[in-house]
Amino acid sequence: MAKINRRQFLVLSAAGAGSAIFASYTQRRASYSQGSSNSPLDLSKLHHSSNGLLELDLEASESPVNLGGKRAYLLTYNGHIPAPRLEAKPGDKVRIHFTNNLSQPTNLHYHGLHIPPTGKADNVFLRINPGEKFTYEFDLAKNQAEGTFWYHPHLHGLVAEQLFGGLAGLFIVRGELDEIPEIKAAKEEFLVLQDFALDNYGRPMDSGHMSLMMGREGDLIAVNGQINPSFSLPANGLLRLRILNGSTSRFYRLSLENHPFYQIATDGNSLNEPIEVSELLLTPGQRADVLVKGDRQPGQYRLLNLPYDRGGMGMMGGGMMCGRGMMGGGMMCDRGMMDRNDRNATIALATVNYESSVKSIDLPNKITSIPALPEPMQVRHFELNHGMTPAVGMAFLINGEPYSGELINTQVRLDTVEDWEITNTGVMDHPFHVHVNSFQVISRNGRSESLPAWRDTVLVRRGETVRIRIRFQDFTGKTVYHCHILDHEDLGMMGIMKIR
Amino acid sequence: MSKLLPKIIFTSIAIASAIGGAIYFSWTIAENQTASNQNSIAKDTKTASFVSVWDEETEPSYSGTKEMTVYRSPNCGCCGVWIEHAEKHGFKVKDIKTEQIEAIKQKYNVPPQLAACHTTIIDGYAIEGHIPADDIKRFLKEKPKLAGLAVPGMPLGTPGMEARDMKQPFQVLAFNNKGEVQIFKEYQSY
Repeated sequence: MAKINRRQFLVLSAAGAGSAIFASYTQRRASYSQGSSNSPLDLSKLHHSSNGLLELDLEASESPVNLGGKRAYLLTYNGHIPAPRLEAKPGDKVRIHFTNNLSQPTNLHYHGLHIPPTGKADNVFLRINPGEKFTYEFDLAKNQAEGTFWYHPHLHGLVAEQLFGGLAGLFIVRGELDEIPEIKAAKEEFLVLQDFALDNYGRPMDSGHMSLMMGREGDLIAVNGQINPSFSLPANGLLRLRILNGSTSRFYRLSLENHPFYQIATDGNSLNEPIEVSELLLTPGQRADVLVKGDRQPGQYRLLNLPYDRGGMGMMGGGMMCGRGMMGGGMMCDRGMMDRNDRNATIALATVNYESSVKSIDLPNKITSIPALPEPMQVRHFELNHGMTPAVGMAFLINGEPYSGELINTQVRLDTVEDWEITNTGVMDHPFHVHVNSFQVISRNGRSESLPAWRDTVLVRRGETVRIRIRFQDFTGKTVYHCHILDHEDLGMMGIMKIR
Repeated sequence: MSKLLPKIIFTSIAIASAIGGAIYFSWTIAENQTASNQNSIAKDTKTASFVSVWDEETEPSYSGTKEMTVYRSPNCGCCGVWIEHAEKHGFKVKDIKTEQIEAIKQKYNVPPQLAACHTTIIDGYAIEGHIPADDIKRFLKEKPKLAGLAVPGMPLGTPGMEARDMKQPFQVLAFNNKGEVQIFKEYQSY
């Protein structure tokens, strides 16, 4: 066994000189921590519909961006991290002139929207090659839920890499919900949570060096492309936070320090009434709208990300970056990175500052009325795990099968209701996402779900069985369901569903 | 081991590897398809029989201990495939499924940051994760004053983690009972 002598050490150190960038970044991090959300919104970051039409040009490309005060070269839509926010209303037409200036093929998925899975709409089987253009065009149904949706690439095999590069943006559907007086009076802020791992040149860390089995995570957590930005809350007023977990694999367990908040929506769908919560777990793909009421001692309150263990093959708890990240991952084993990316660490994602008082606004009593779905005509079972398969070797599996791209795994009938029982027999948590139609959680491990809510992504913890109820409405065609840890999806944990 | 500077070396070797690490990792995406409504992106899924690059015997003269004990979680699928790899290379494996795997790792001084999915005990050494069996033989021949070897995490392409043509670069690390770490062997391509 070769000992590392001093000379080798020097060589290695020189090779590691690039790490100085990260070291100095760590030290300077504090001074970047006060990103401002008060600056007027750059209009190129917002596109909203007018006269029933949302139309825009959207270009995917690698672009230089300012990420928390640091120059980075990320994958962007129209040069922005996060991507421009799109806003439309139920019944609007959407026309997106998309250009792929990435070096890889790509496409767009409209996560959570109830639109056709075919043609020029939410068609994840499309492949738009580098240099090609494609015009997406679809109508939002009159009964489209109003809420927080989003768009991101969805070309199987490249989803995690492209999302991790930064490609994600909000798609907001406005409507009656926004006209509820208390909600209308609330100050509205959007929080897109993304994590990044940059190499020495400020580019996303190569996939070969990331822990794909666990699902890649970055050490740099940005909210709207900023590190720990501030949001103001009028004393006595309401602040409406619309939060998206746009990360590839990272879970966020959110808590506003010493301050309650009230959830009013799950995955873009309103709850019946506000629910007081002290913590909010958001898996990749999930969204939540919350109201913060300015009725506490005025001051600064940190929005914290609390530790969460999403499993990983019997590995131990904190200090796991080298275990979870790859040894070859360079920065993944940087001690400085480890210390602040500890699984047991709590970090501040953003800060809420009280500002001058306004006339008191109460929480809304009633927001919507969620109907119970009728009893299912069919119950299906899905088992999530990873394992060795003869065809591809190690893969993530649904019912023992990796995604094939050709096989239709599940055939359902339009206008029917089904229960899907999803069991995680593996050693890692898997958030399960279904395209096109939202669902309700019926039970978890046989215990009835007490909170009525529409969702499009539900966490199935290791060892857990979650039963969901879903109605296939309005649209026929092929679409997919998958784990929203997108490395797991890329490694096979996805199935094709045909709605007929 | 007195020359080990664990934290600094730990950082530096990792960075060196990141820089030197050419990418032996690519996704298979079928060529010659256009932005039409096609639906066979993963068409190239191979149905060929499963042959591992790790099957080849590179330490035929090994005459040391062959009995090993593997501790793994009952739900760990890839651990079982690694056991098959070890058996192919002549080891006799006692396979123990336990939920108490963390206690085993602690008992044998596996540094937490080097943890992987299963822990093998042989000749009093802890062999952590998806380590090529022949590296264990090389290590045991030397009988070093160390606590064991580790391949942290679950790199795709390692024995028991073979996945189509994905081969992530990885290092086999040696550690002592103080948690100090050095490179035993590096695999950039394989």
